Amino acid sequence: MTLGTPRLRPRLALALAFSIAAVLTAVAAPAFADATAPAAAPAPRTYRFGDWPPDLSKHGAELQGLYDKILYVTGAVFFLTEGLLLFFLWKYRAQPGKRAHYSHGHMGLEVGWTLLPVVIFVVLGVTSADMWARMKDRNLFPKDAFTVKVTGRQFEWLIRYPGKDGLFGTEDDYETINDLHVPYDKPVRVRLTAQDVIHSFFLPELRVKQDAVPGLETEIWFEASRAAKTEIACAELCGLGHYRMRGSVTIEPLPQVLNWIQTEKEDE
Amino acid sequence: MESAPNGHGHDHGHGEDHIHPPPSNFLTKYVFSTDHKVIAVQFFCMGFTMFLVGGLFALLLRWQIAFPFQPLPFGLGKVIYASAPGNTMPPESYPTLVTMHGTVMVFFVIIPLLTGAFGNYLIPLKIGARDMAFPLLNMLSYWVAVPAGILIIMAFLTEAGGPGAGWTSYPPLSALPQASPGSGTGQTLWLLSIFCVGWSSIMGGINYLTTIINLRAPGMSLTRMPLSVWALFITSVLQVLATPVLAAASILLLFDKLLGTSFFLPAGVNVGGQAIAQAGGGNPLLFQHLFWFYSHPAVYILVLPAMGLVSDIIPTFTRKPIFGYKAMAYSMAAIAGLGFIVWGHHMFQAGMNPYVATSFMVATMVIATPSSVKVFNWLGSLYGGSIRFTTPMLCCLAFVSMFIIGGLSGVFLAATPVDIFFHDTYYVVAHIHYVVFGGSVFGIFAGLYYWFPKVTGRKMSEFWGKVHFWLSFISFNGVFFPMHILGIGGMMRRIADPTIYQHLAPLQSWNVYITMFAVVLGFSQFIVIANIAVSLLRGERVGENPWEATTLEWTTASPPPYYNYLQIPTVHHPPYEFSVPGMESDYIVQSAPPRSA
Ligand code: HEM
Ligand SMILES: [Cu+2]
Ligand SMILES: [Cu+2]
Repeated sequence: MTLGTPRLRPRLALALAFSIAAVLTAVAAPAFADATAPAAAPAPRTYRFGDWPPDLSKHGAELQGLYDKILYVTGAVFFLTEGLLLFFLWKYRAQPGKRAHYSHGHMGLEVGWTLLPVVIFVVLGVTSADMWARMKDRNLFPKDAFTVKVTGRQFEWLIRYPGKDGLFGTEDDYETINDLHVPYDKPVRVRLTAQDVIHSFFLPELRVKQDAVPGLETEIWFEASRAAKTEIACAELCGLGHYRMRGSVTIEPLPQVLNWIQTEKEDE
Repeated sequence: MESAPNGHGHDHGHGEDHIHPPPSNFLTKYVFSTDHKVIAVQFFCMGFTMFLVGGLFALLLRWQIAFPFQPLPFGLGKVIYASAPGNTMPPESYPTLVTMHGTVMVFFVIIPLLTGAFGNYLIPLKIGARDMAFPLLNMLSYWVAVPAGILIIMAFLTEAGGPGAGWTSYPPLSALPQASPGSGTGQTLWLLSIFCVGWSSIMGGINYLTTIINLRAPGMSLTRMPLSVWALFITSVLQVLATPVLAAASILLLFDKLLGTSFFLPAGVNVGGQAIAQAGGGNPLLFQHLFWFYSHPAVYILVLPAMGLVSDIIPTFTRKPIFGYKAMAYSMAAIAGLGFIVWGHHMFQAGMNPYVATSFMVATMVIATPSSVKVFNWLGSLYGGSIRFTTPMLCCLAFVSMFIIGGLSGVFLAATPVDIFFHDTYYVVAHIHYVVFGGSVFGIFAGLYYWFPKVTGRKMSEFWGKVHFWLSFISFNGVFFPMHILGIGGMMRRIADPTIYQHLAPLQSWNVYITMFAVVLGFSQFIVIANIAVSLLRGERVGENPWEATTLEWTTASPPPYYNYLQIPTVHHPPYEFSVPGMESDYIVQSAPPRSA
């Protein structure tokens, strides 16, 4: 191999790597282009780099706050470590006549950088514990919630409303498929199970996710903040139709929800 | 435990150390060989071939996600989906491809390459032994992995459909053929394959442990072992203790499938209105506990050996001892120990008691600590060095910098409330690829470029090595960094068509972008293959120690003779003595005579 002088080679390699990447992309692009079909639905909102889906929930802000806190801590660690890495690579690159510094480490540093992460991580853990308990401990769920039962099955969501009496298993229960209507400004409690395999009930814009497991009743709750239309997705691989196990969610004022349940029930 | 075992080289029941002649028969020399070096090369060839297979699955997946149900470019669909209508991906293929990609990469690429290939090659050479403690067991561990590989390919090709329940294969989906065509014969073959590969892993682990404990050369005390040997030792402990649990889980699942038991099937399950034959009474979450009790330690099986390789290579190219040798060894032990009590972080949203989840969260947060300690020590190893930017060194630097990103994204997932949103989204996909591809695969590349001269007696082309490195590094980030963005946008894992969701439609251009880079990443790997092939024939010939390194393997010929060492070396120095003040040469090999006091 006699390409370039030894000092030029790394740069040459980098340049070649970039050009191969560019050529491959250029060659591939036309093939990609004719395969690009218009997406099924036109984009309903403007999207900016790194956006979360729109937040329709009341706890979303707190969740995102926790995310931001972790982002600041990990972001600082990221810039610190990667920055030092790059700096050291430049500062300590091999230079003629310069010998490496002979050292096996430093006890104080070791202790310091062991204890510091422990403290930071445990604090992060403890900070998360409270919100987690409120989200998932049934004993702490709000008492006067609007409750629905949702059963996952290949590849649809069976939704059961208790009707006027607020009790399940009575005459006025109403069952639909993939059509969830819930109120806003009122806690909604979802009692989940599955009929066949494991599914996962995911409301991206309401910031909740909970597996629906056959033989088990799991629960999740949320409170919506405004009227909107959104979707249920399945987040656990459940078979061939997993990707299209989609339901719709209508968020509207409570009287409208109750009204809708009643008229649908009467139409049956 | 400071003293080295038996002073007179290895001893297998008949006293004196002696050298066996190499086998002369082709079959026992190259095929059914008991030589750890040949077995290592066999594992490497198998692992690398499977890497290409797994990579092909990945590209097919990426195409589907970017351009759902569109024909493949360049008429490839006529070949790949020859029997499908319209020569496009049939909808039932997607779960099978996801399953195969994950399974192949975890069980048939990373584990065999790191423990099977590098573990086998390096352990005896680095501790100054002639071979493994149990050469026959070693051969067996390879020849159990081969049928496992055949079984997994057979599973894929099953007529009714390949297994389609993910590499995690949760029941009931994986247990019930009614629920997914791949859950019939395909899944049964998958389970048998995993069972075999588990055996291979256990046999390898036992052998490595015994070898490291008993066959170290005189003077090779535990604290003089290279960190790669420490890493492989700790990995072997994980393999021996965790893999039996995977075997148990797969056997119980096989019973549910074939014998009508209900370990993982609750009462009242019905598929499409048809009640299943099994009586019920089991619990699907039991499988998840068993699976993750193995598979969380397994993710460390996937990365610890690479940490060891990198820790061996960095000192050579910084010309400086590793920073904090003991901290490096202890932190690996801590990772392994804690690794057994964090499995529940894969099940936060599965329906566990929330307070159990909280304790798993705290344990998971704590396990991030030894990982950070390792990163800080690698940085310390660069500090004050005299850094040579060879291809293996570049790969090590990629390992460290990408592992940082993967470790940090793990912290988000470990925070239970944040995981409510991120669980089973592309955020997790980004996380696993930063640790396993950015980490382990670059660690494997580093090891390949670094030890290739030892294995073959010829160096790989540095130039083409760097081209391959930069292409892979750039396109790796082009593929996997945006997956964080998709995760934040709420894109679910393992879905064949994201465009049908209103919250995902605006993200679709990211999927196209990722797929373009995936193509580049995939094709870049042909450069390393060509480099291997050409270097084997025409690479620059090297002597014993082309990198001026210090550990024992560099004191024997390249390639090493059948018996490794004519005379078992005696060790007098710690593993990374570089740039010792007052010495003319800037390195001291471990077996160099002691410096007169
Ligand atoms: C710094 C420490 C780490 C932390 C805190 C961490 C945390 C986590 C958590 C909480 C999950 C579950 C996410 C979910 O499914 O919702 C996860 C998944 C995963 N992690 Fe890590 N992780 C760390 C390091 C690693 C390493 C070193 C590896 C491998 C080499 C790894 C490989 C994986 C894999 C393969 C999965 C996904 C498994 C699956 O669902 O298919 N992680 N990690
Ligand atoms: Cu699903
Ligand atoms: Cu884990």
